[in-house]
Amino acid sequence: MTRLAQTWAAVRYRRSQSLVLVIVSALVTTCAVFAPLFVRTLEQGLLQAGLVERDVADTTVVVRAARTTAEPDTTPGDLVAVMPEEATRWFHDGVGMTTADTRVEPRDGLQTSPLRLVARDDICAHVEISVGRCPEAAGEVLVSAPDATAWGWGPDRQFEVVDPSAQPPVPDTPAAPVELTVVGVYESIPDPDYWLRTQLDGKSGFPLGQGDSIVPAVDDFVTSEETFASGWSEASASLEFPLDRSTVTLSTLPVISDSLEGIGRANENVTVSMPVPDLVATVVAGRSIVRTLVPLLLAQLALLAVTVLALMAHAAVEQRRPEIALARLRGRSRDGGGRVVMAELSLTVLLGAPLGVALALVVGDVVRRTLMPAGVPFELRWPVVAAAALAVLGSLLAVRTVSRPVLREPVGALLRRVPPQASRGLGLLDVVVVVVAALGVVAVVSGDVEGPTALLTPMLLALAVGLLGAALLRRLAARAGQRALASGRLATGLAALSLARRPALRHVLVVVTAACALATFAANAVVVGSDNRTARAELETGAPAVIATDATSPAALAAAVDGLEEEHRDVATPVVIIRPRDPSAVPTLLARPAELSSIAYAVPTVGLEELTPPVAPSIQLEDGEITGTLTWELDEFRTGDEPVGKAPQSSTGIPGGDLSIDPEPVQIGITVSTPDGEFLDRDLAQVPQSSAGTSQIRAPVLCPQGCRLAGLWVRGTDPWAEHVTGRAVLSDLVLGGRPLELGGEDQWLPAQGADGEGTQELSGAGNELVIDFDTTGRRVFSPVADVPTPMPVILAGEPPADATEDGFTLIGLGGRPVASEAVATADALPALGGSGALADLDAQLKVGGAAPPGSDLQVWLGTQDAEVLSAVERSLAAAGIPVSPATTVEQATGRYDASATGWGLLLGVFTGLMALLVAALVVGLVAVTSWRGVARDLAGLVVAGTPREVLRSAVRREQLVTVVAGVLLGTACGVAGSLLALPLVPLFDRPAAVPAPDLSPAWGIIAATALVALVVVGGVALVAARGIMARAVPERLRESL
Amino acid sequence: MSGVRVVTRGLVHIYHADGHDVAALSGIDLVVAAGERLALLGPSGAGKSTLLTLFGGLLRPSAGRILVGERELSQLSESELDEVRGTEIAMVLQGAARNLLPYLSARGNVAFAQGAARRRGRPVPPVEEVLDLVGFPATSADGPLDHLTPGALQLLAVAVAVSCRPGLLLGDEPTSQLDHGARDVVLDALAQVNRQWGTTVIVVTHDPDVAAAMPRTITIRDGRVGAEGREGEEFAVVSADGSVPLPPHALAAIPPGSLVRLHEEDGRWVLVVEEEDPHE
Repeated sequence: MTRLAQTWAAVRYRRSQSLVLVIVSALVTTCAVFAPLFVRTLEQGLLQAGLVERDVADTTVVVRAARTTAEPDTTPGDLVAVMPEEATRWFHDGVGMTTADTRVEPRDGLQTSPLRLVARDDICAHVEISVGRCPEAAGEVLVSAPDATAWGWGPDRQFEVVDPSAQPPVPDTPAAPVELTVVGVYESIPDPDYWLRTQLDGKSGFPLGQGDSIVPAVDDFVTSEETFASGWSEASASLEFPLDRSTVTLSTLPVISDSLEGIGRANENVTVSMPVPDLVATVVAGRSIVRTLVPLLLAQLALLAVTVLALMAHAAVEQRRPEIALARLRGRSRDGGGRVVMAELSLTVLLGAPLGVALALVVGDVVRRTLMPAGVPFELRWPVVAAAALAVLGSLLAVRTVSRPVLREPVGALLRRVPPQASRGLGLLDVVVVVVAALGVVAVVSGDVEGPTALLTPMLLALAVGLLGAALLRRLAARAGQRALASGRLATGLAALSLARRPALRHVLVVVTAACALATFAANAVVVGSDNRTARAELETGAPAVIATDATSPAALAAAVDGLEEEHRDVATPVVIIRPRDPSAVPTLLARPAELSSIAYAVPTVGLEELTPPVAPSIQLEDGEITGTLTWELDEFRTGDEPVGKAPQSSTGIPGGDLSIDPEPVQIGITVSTPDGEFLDRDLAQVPQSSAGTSQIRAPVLCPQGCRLAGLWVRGTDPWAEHVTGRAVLSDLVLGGRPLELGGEDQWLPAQGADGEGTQELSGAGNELVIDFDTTGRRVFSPVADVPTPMPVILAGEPPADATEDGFTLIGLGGRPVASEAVATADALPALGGSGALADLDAQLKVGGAAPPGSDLQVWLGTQDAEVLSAVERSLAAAGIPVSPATTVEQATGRYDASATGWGLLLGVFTGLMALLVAALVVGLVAVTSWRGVARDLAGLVVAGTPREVLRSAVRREQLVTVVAGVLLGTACGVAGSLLALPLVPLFDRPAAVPAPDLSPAWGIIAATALVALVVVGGVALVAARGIMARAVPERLRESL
Repeated sequence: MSGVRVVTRGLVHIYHADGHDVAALSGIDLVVAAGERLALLGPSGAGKSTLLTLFGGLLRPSAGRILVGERELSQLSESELDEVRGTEIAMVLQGAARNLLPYLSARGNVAFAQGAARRRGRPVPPVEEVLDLVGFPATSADGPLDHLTPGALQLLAVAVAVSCRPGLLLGDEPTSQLDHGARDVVLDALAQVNRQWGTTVIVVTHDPDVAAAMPRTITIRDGRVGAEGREGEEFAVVSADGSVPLPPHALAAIPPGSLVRLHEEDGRWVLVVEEEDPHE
């Protein structure tokens, strides 16, 4: 019989034990092989999600140049050289486009609407020309089908448009118009790869605000490049280079990014938009995280599996002491005797390797198909093979290392029927593990160990606690067993003594502790990571669903939302986000605080009510004339008799006498704000500089669309009167036939003026207003108290640069600076993050004004129900609000989930499940390897008269005590490990200051994991106990083989 | 290889256990001729198994000398002992199963036992010859071991031990747990090995029938050679220090502390017990 045949016979003889060793070996190999496989899969997934699957427009290099007086003839062809030669191989040929803005009169007599002329390479092949032909000559255009239908346009229709850059032949006369002739009607053919971000149509008929009027939007006119051959020196030329996706691989990524280095810098007039380097950087950063995170997560599992393999190998070698002794007795040397056993154990390790590789490949493929974006290839590369080899070598080394002490024992010791007692305390290896773990914990706590390396600490901690627990269990169990037996508690006593006597059970405690710690850590990491990603997505999105609009009028948006059906109105709120052009300026979130708190995420609770303090009712003024009576009494004024200086010398040289100038009156006026947010002054009355008097008030309001009274001001107009003080009473004020009630209590805020600039106090009742003033010539303004001034805000982050004790300035509607003060602070605000200010929308709507450029006008909804979102979108569109499809927090969370950290931490699921599987395997393996001896002992007790029920109870207890103790210790270690190591694990590819990561343990999943561990591992333990008990028959005592 | 001579001189072995020492052997002087069959007797704890273990090179004596053939075992290195064990010195452990690899057949076990000798280039008899020598049934040579009777298992244990045709065969209770028939078969096998190959056979036994089957017996008492039996007749053995261990029945009559006189009479030494202390 060959040596291999002998070895195979040994494996088959102990097939159950061999099978479990094969499985554990397979697990080690699976962990090792899965790591590079998963890393590569994630990297490909990052590439797919970060680059390949993005819209073509997102990965296009756009080179743009506006025609200037110095270069009035720039065409797209002139921009080809901007693209570096080494970069061209990664991109498709550029698509050239020239555009120019002008205005067109859709129909005779109508106001002109904005119009864009577009000439684009090969454009006629990408539109369907339903009527006519493609424009060829200069001035020939295609119009869109919706415009053709709406306005009755067709071939041969002519337009006269203005070239904004054209110089008129005679100054102050209009420039000659440019004639455009319609040669056809087009419909866009959707083709994102061609159009990129260009959209010719979709605007037809939409109302556009133009000053005080509304004009209909018109789709772009398609023309030929010939149109721009002369003139149009304010046109813009661009060349768009779409990325060739087929060239994008993980290895070409850095090359592509490097090839774009410095593009466009040589041309001052050229702007280059190239998101590719940023996208590449994101993918590269994600790769770096994946390459660190995944191996370290799996390293814990591999460490556990190797520990189990080592323990099991040690137990197997202990069991084979007689065989080693026999081999030595029959003349084999120490090495020769060891080879007999090592051959068998090595064979099981080798048999497990292909199984582990296969399992890793299957799991890797499942991950690729279920979690990764479509298109991620299956790759089998050299690191996988190397990892498998390393796993096998490592496993063999582990088996060899733990076997060595037994193999080196003298033959006499090996022949002993009762093996030497293991040390009562910790062995050398145990001490090493405890010391390393302690050092690891100290290093993590003190910050000496950073980054994902700290991930090894939880496993080391768990192993150390398990080893200490096992040593402690031995002592406690021995004492408890003796006490129990002495007091007649037979089952407890037997179980406790067995725990003290059998090292295998204590090994189970170590492994279950480590496995549960790993499972707890992994499960907690998955849930904490997911919760944090969700929190960040919620903060960035702002609300469960957000509908972005192209509205420019916040008032119109608010009115459209207020007009929603009641069932939708409760879950919707209008929001305006003003983002100043200066990136260092503080953005402002205008919303309705009460609605926001019930709809949005991360709404601060402190200070919310202070955003809407009680205010006086607004005073709306209709177009017309204010009439009334002015009565005044002045205390201090210039009579006009006081000389103000000397008259100039006459032409004859005779010096002039004292110069007297008649006093100028004190001006009383009002400031109004139009619906467009424009502030206009209107004169109300004049108070002559005389001691007393009366006059009539007739002041036109001049607000065709009505306006809001913003405030009243008083200003002395006499430059030679230092002070004019007195009282003016405006009574019987009437506007539009109705009393104009300006004198209400609390109707006016204190006058705004610096020291020395004058004062005024307003009082009165009904349509009588009393003004006590002291004017020095500067205007003193008393705001109406219908809008809180300064604007109360909740501030997140640093205040604006102009902040003082009295407040600061934010940009409000209409782009106006608004005096503001922070009534509360917050760490973060929805959609703004860690820097911004939250203010009341309705207060600002009173003031009026359009949203400044760059603002976002949105509708936030408190639900992600698709039907509700669609219904609200339809209602808004019907109200004339152009909308984009809603974005949801679920989509935002999904983007974070599809990231390096998201996918990487998901590995925790695999890790946790495998850890529990390992623990269950160990319990089973211990039972399989030791059942004969235990069953024989139990059989002896049965023969001695011990009731089987007592023995059954004892066996169950000894199995369950180790499992329960291991689960409890392991769970505690997992929580401790999470507190230690999780702060050092990246939860996001790109960290953000807010929201601050919430790393508090997810107690729900921790408890669930412990419960699952108890059920699974405890279940296996109970089955093992039952099996051992079933084999405890008297015949077992006569067993010799 | 024919049988080897075994000689011990002042053999002492002390076990060190848990803070105290136990002298298992207190000076054994023994000569076993080459090709002799010998049984070691004695009560439990007398030192028989210790002596056997020392003969097998599994322990090193605390003092004294052991010569097996020309080799002094206490002077051999571990690798030299490995070479000697299984080739020149063979051992049958107590309990047949302890001598066998359960996953190999009878043929496989004998072949396994011959493996080390083969690798050293030492000639070994064919497996069938070994099995036939001990009387192992040929039909069971390739079957699983758990189908063998206890007697067949013991025969196989003997076959495995002698598979390399050793000069010395040591057996620790080779017939324990066997019925009379199986016991006799095993004893016949030992005799056959001794007869055919000249192998010196030393067995430890509690069974007086086994002892009676051996031409010579040594009784170990309190770590010393207490008595010796030859051809059914028992002798006390004078130890190196001149002490003569009395057999138990004599010891009962002449308890320790008794005064005796020894005198030569007609060429024989006579021992007379003094009834009273002459100085009292």
